[in-house]
Amino acid sequence: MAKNVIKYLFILLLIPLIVIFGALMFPERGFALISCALIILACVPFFLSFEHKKTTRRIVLLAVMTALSVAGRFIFAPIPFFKPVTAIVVISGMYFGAEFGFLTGALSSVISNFYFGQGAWTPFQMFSWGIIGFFAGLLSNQLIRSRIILILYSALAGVAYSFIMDVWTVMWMDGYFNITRFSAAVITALPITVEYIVSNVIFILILAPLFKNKIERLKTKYGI
Amino acid sequence: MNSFKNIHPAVSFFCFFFIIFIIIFSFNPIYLIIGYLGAFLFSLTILDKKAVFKSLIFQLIIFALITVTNPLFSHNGATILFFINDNRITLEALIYGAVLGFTVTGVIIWFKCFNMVFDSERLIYLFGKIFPSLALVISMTLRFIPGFIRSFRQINTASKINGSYRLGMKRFLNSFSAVITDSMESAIITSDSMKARGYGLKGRTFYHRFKFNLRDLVYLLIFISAFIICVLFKTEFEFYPNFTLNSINVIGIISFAVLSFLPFIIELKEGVKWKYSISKI
Amino acid sequence: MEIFNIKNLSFKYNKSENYALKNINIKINRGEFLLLIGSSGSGKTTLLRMLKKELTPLGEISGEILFNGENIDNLSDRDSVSKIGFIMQDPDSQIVTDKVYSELAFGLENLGCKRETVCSKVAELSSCFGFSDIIEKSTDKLSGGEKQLLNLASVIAMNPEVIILDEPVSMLDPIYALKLINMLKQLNDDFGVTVIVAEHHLQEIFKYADRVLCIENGGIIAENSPRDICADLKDSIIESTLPIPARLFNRLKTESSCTITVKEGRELLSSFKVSDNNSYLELKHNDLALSCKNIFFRYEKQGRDILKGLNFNIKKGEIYALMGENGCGKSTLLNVINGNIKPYRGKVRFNSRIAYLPQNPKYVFTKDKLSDDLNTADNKNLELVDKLELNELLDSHPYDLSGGELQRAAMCKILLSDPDIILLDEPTKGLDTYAKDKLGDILRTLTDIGKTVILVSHDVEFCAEYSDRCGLLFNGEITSEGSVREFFGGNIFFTTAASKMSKGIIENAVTIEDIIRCIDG
Repeated sequence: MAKNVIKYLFILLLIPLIVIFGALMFPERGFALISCALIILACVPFFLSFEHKKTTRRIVLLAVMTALSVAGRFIFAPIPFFKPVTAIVVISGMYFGAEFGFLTGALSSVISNFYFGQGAWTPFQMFSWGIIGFFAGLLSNQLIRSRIILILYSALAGVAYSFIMDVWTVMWMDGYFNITRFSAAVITALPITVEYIVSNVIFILILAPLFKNKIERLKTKYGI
Repeated sequence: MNSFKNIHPAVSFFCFFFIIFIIIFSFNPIYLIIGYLGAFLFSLTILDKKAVFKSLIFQLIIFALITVTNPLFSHNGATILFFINDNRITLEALIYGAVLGFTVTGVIIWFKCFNMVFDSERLIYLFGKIFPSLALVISMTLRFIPGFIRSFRQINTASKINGSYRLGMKRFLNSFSAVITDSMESAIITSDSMKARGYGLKGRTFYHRFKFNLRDLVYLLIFISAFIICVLFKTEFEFYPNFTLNSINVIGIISFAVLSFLPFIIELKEGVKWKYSISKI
Repeated sequence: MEIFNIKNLSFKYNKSENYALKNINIKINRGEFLLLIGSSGSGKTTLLRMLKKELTPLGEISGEILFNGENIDNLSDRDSVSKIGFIMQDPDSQIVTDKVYSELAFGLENLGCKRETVCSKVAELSSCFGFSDIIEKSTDKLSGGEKQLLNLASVIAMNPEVIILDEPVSMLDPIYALKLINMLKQLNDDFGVTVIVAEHHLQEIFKYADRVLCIENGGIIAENSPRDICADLKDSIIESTLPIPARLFNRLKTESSCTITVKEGRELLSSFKVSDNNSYLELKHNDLALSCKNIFFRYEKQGRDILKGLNFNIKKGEIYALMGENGCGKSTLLNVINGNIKPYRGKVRFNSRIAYLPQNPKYVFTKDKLSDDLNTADNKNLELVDKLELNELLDSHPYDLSGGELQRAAMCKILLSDPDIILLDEPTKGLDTYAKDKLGDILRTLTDIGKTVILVSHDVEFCAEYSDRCGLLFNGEITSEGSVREFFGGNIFFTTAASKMSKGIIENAVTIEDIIRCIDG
């Protein structure tokens, strides 16, 4: 137990310390630094709470959902921008809870970057997918009940993902929120954002009922 | 043959972390040049030469793009070159763009090296030291992915040949749906197998194959002190209104050079040692 | 002393009317090698799962199970995990982690072993199982046989007193099946580990068993030494699973004791008078259904040729069995024929519709209900469903079917398009003898109405029984080919048990029937 406390203090202190040190030394890029640190810190509570609430079934399910979303990226590789990741993350949050959704999103990012290469964007991608799964979990009642809300949510998820990644790009480049560069980024990314939205909506419409059946089947067959 | 890989993952992780941290946040042209050179030499020793040069072309394009477009977003600076639609295009903004482009390419090339050194085993280890259950999830996910892709291919082939779905898209989605069913069912067997082998008992330990020895400690101390020194004794720059260099701080530059060339030197040293020991036989 | 003592055990699954196990009483001795046989659905798996409390299914239990004299429910979790090892049928899904070494360490980590202990155990096991070359590999890159050996090794790592195996070799190729069985024998002989194994591929394992237990409909119908149980099971439905020499023994009128190995079978046969003039009616197929000419194929540009200059002709209406060791390119050839991959040289010619059944029959199903997959709304399809006896299964989920049912349903699905040539990849994998015979009959009916079947298989007994011609694929070419009797009669090692027993005594006998026909009196 004491060992755990030290471990957690280590990460919870180390990150802020580096940030303070960096922000003091590089004041002109302080914003970028702090946002980066916040993003990483935001993931920590989810990871910690999973460590305390793990069960065998949850572990296997999380691995399966994450693997499905990453494998989906490969499987649908022939069709550009048409990727089921966001849809699966939303479904994961919707049926298994907010924390589970966050973890599916965050791990999908880390693990797909094993194949496509880690980069400076990894923490931001983790956070954006994670937060999409998290809110899907919070709104799960509404999302399960209403198709329209589900469609709206997954469209919005596409926008949010692009938005967070664009904010990150701009912060990273200028050290502050440069509105001209941000609008340029948004405009150039517009076709891609639209494609995200379309692919998210298509995938969610097809996959959500599928998962519903499959999860119900497992519930009756194995009592999960 | 990858001897930088033999360093304890925590140590090499900090090495990469410090270097990339400084490249991103220092915004210091001298550091950027040193950092890029270090990465370039290092990547030549650990990566395929063809891949390095291929990536170089890509980096050049990125660099040029960022340099050229930056004056469009930023109109600060005293030295006006010309006007486009009443907007000033300044030399300072161009220089700023070049530094920015260099930052991006520096990060790209260091992450290329990082991805080469940090395979899944190392990342799972680092993660597992703090979040052991999530590390297991990552390991399991990595085990599932290739299997899912393979079953997708088989399902897709079978339905293509037996002519269930002529339309590619519909067949893709149907096969993917079958993969979902299959994965959920086999997950039950996997969790049975985990329970049968005692997952969930109290006091689980974490097995790994890394040892932390004296050499690792020495490297770690070098990395940490080099990082702190080069951050404290940095050279100050100003881009706007005029590009000025306030004072060159040699201590900081040397220590950053140590930090970013050390991976290459370690790699080279081991290579030379190995050749020497072979020639003695 | 007994390690397990099962008293009056009965079990009923939730939501089921019938008892899966009825009043079972068994004592299993420490150090025993116990073999459990019985047709699919007889209750073998349920019984085995009752012995490992982590895997006990949900349902109504009565009676008790004692482990080392103590009720299994009172056994501590830690003891239950480490002392009782369990291995399931599917080699693939049991593997948890991504690397071989971490898989070996998984159980030890759970038990809380120190890093040094795990290290030395992993090293010990990998040298004992011959894993040194694959220890750093991804588990995904292993063959099915290697995976199952890894599963065994990672259970052995925890130093169990007993290992329970549920059909461990039914998904493996013959070489790895033999390897695994020999490993079990060694564990049993040298380390005194009690082995409880359910299996229906008995040829190799049968002779190692100390005791054989036969279960039907949830009850024990026979219990005896391997040698004596053969007579007990004479004329029962389970008789067909017995090893070939034992089945031959049951067919002959003799006073001697039962033969369970090929060697004993040979001795028995040589004591009989046999007639030489052994001629067979061979069906002649003339029309060409499919031909491959000078096929070359490789997966990677720089890789080696998997198929090199392969020539191959299939006649209309025949069942052609393609055999060969693992990785020799059998499945690749099927994929070339079905057009999934293109050879870089050579041509495949046929002018008819092809259907293809992949190695894993569940892969032809994409829906959640069998009737949706078989499109039974169409009356034309119902006829086929009826023929294949699938009527009662139409409402089930494809994944809930037994191996044999799944195979039949998959056959039905691929036959819906009314193909002329049917390609089957390892169709007997994981099937029990009863299901195999049923499949064989279906194939025969298909060829009777003029369809052509090409199958790839390791199963010499099945091929000898049901195919018309066989070919051996080696080094990218068909190296030997002929009618079943020419093929197996000519081979010395790669042949059926009946052929091995009768070699030099009866010419070209490859099945039991062939032998019986030549025995006088």
